Amino acid sequence: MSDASIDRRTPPEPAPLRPFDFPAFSDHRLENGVRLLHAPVPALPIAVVGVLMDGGAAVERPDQAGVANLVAELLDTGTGDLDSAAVAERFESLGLRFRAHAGWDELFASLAGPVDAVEEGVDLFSRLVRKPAFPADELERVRAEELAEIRQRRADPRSLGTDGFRHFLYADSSPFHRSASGTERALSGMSRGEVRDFHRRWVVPERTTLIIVGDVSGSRALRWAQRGFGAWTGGAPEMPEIDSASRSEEATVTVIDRPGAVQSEIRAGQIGVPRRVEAYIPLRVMNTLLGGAFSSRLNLNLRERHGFTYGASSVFAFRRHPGPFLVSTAVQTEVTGAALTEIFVEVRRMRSTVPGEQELSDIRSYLAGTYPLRLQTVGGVASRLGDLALHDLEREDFDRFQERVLSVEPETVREVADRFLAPDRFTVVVAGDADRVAPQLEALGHAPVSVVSPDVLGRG
Amino acid sequence: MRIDFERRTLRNGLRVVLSPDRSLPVVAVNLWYRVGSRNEEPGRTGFAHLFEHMMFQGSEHVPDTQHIAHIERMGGSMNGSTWLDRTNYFETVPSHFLERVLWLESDRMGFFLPALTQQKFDTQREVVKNERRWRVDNQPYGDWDERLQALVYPDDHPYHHSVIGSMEDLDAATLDDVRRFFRTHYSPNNAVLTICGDFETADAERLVERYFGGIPRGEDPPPLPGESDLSPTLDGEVVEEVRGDVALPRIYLAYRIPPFGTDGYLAADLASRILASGKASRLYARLVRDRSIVQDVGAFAFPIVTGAAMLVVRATVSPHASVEEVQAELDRQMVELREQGPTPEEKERALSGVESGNLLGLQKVGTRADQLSMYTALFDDPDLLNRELDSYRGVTGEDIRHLADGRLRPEHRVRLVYHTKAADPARKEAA
Repeated sequence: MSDASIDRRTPPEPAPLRPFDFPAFSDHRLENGVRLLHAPVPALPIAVVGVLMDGGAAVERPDQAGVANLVAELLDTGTGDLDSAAVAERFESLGLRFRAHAGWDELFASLAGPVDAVEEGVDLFSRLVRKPAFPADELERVRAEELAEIRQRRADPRSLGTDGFRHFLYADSSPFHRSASGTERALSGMSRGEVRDFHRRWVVPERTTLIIVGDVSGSRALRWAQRGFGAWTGGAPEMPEIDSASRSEEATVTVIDRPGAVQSEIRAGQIGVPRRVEAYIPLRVMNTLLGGAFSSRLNLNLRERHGFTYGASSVFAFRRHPGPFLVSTAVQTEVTGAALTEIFVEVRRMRSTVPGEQELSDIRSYLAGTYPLRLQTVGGVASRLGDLALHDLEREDFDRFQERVLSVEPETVREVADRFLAPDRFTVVVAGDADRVAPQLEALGHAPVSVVSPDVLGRG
Repeated sequence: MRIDFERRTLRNGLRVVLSPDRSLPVVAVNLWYRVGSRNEEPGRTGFAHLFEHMMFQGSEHVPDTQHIAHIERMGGSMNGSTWLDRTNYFETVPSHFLERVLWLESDRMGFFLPALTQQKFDTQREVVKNERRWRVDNQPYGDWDERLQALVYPDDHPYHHSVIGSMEDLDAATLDDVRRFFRTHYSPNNAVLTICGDFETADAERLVERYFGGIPRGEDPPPLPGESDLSPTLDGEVVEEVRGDVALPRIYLAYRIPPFGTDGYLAADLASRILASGKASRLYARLVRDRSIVQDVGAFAFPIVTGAAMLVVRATVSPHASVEEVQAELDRQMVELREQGPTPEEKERALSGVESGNLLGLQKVGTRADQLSMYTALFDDPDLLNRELDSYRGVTGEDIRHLADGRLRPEHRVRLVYHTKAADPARKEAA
């Protein structure tokens, strides 16, 4: 049998590497200032058109928290004499998917589907983005849905952990203290005029990047851009100062009480760094080693060694302004304290000890090798081009990503962990059964434990 | 769009589908084993999934968690999943590592048992119990599918219990169960291997023969436990009302529909899309946009093959609306579909959705490989993927109306209602 002839003890050597290049793309400006990023990807007869509008939830005034999200949610509810039903019927009869969302830094709307359908739909798409009607009855409906969504998040342990972490991490003066989709108070009072005003101020040619990816030639892309966005005018607003102050200089431990919960949702971390931090690549490598892959230290420890959890991970939210760095996991109630102990062990070890060459080499290969996997779809390529526009990156940041990751040295990993992670001051939030969890957390000695009700997050 | 492929069967019964596409230097390897929660014996619910976890705990030449470590150091992604009819294992990696992935997958198909230990099993049992707590027990509405399956399928039907299983049964599972389950279900003749992406067919054929060809054929798996045959519809409405840790009430309606793979299933799937896929759909238009009485609405058909599949309608009741008025509007919409069927425009929109969903979904070699494995494992015909859209196009509006009229009636449904803890279910909740 063929099997007898092979040595199964040694992993087969790889074939020669077939190098991968980030897809070629062009970068134009229309006369009115709209930036056009276009990547021809002809593998399948599909396309995506994305519009990235610089100015998301972070630029909202506190009394209008949630307005960017309302704008995004209302974009497809009408324009000119077309109402929301007509818009939906038009797009869906063509097999087109319209999506819109508000992030902290941007509004993003996209249209995806068969390339000829996108061609037919792109004019309507551009009118929805540039001249949405914001019908009063649709605003009332979406407002009610957003308020009900806040209510649902207060009953959902995962959301309580994430929302609670943000709440107890950032100062009240920072927008990042609340949800990007707004607060009950601001949403309740938001007028249609405020929604229209936010759109008029921030959705303007000079702050807009059009992203076209798919089976589309350069001339066709330019035609779509000109037809949809070429005659558009309007001036750009000043960027306000964004406050990302922390709530406390000291460590804190807060339990959001869910009596009887069988599991604790744990969030532990600190305010991190902006996307344009100079140590971006070493930080990505360090975080992947700590908690960014299955074989990361946190997951191997909490899941594979202890069986505490279905999974444990860590992440830096890389945005324009310092987003959180956080460790997330859900563990059975009785091991909440033990799990946090292990989290601190792993974070501290990352700072104190240089990682082994083999372990680091594996993680670098993972991060570099999975890069092309996320570029299999037109949406994946469009996301990277969105990053480029939003964070003012260069083509070289894509072309040299793999090489830069592969060259990160072990001591650099320890050094960035030491420089950017401060576990002694971590904010810890646990959504769980306070009666059973608080004593375990007191025993950790990280900080005095406060117990709060989910209602504390009520007004956001 | 046409997905080209070649298929063959090794002497040991392993069915192999090869679908090259050189556009990116990545390759997907996908295995379907024809075993899922439907094969579980009484007292062992959740076992097929717990077993799936053990497949990542090492084999003779790939100790402990090295399977995943190998994939990650190649720069690949991987996972496995267990469902009612099947368990799949899949990875997408830079294509020059294809041979190493085949080495890994063949090692756990052929040399799994020697690496098994009680300690690894005990740890994964805890991991899976935490998965259950995370997905089901500590999640609003988390047990909806478990409750619906128990009500839609009779006690002795293989779909009566959930994939995740009960804590008691997970606790009761033994290492001997693992060995027996492996010998019974994890043989090459009970599996399909699909490779999709950047490779030469001749190279892949040689490598597949090299790594899988020597694994001995197993015995044919035994028939499914219990009784798979069941009547096409429930006889009389079944109602379950639960009070839970939820912020808003939610209604689930569930119906038996023809199994996946039949024309009747396609009609039911199109009905579900006409009801609630997209903002032009009936339930979205009436309940969300026009009346604003639900927070969200959905409808979906489960693509499952044993006896009967299931169609589920879900609506979350807005704070200012009542369960009763939402139920009444759902009923009106279902009656309308039964009596008048879809409009031609509605049917065309649903078909456009299927078509562009396929185009967008099949961009990833991993999705393509999984679909080819699915059609091969369930119906022995990977080309069904290429004929799927034509099959949908063959369904008439009258077929959809007829399906709705025969199956989607109140007297054939399960109605599961989640009420908030505080409110009296009979009373309208204050806004």
